[in-house]
Amino acid sequence: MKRFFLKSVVLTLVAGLMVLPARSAGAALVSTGSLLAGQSTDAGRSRLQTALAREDVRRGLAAFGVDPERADEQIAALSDEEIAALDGHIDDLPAGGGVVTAIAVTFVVLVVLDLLGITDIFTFLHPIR
Amino acid sequence: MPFAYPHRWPILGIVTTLALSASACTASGVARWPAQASVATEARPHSPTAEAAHAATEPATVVRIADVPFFAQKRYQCGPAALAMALEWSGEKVDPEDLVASVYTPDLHGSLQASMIAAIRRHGRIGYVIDSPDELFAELRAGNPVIVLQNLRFSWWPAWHYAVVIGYDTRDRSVLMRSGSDAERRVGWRRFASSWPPGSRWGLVVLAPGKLPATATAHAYLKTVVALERVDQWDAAATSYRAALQRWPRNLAAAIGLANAELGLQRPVAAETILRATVQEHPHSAQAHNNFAHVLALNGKHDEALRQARMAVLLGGKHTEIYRQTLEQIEGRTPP
Repeated sequence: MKRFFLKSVVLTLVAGLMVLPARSAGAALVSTGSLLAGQSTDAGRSRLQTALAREDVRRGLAAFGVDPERADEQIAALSDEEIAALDGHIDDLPAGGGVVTAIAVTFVVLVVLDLLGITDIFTFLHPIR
Repeated sequence: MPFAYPHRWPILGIVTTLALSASACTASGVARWPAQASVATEARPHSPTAEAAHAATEPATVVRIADVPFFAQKRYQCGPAALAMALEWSGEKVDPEDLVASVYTPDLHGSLQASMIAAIRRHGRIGYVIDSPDELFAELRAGNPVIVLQNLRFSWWPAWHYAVVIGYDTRDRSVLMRSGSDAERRVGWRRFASSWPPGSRWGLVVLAPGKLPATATAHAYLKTVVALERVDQWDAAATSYRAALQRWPRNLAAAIGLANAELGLQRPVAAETILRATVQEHPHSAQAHNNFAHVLALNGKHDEALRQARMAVLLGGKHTEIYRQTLEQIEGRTPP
């Protein structure tokens, strides 16, 4: 987890740097880089929210004692830096609609929630916040 | 206990040095692949899709990109050699010796992938990374050679080597490469695939700005173009963004990128034209309105700039501080 913590710190710093305005084109311009980074985190956030919207995933979460409504709120409130820090895990979200996929998706969502400190299901996972 | 022996550290040091020194570009002098099944411990991976596709549905395909120049590698310098071949093919004349300084790392007896990509950018070229056999074949079919990083030994004791793939032949299922001291090395697909296994596949397509890789996706391509901005390669960036916008006309980042590149080239009038079209295409994009306001102000169109800046602040979003800054700057100026 130390490696993950280090990675999340680095990603947070990188994401923070992305907000700085562009060089040489004026102080009040949105740089292409920050636009692209924003699109990345938007895509990550929407992938996570789509996963949470699935009925079978919500049932899976409830089975673990997680309130899906609360999870929705918490995910929606995530900052760009936090989404960027989780990006690798969000990429693990499998696509497709079978039962096996639902289990896999639920697992990944639970890992993400644990890392955010919203839940504490896996004792081996420590929150990144 | 095997290492109770008192002189273990020098021995370990010698073994490690031998291992490391032998770990890069070992194809120098090795004209043939290892005859024994040195990777037999793992199943030889190959791309079922590629093979099936070629075997079942397509007639025999022979691809050979003949105009890739050949530079024989010097000891450990497969990186500079491969890079020189790809760069020169893309239209940028180089000498491998010139690349050695920036790409070759003496300590590691090899060239890091990151330094290869950085060198490509400094030459104003696009370096697009691929990592699958399907992408490899697609690029070759489109006439683009691909630099590949291979492991010519074991996964637990790798021997890294850069080569340039210039073609393939479905009749004998082989790939054609410029590698080491061989201008044309034909390698069977299975052997190649075991040197390019999933998890450590790295391929690089080097193209002149304005040319899109055959397998390019918008986001990945634009990320490589943004990197050109950081080394002030504005002309290359502008040409590349223009090509991206042509290919993906509704892409906001490509449009913003093109306008920013025009500003980097000190062409604010061109930037204004681009952004005028961009706000029409993306009326809800605060970023577009903000940058449009900035450029309008530069060009002395104060009233319109004010309207656009206010629009950006109204739309809000991620960069609200930037939008307010723009508005303040514009409001602070006396209208002509």
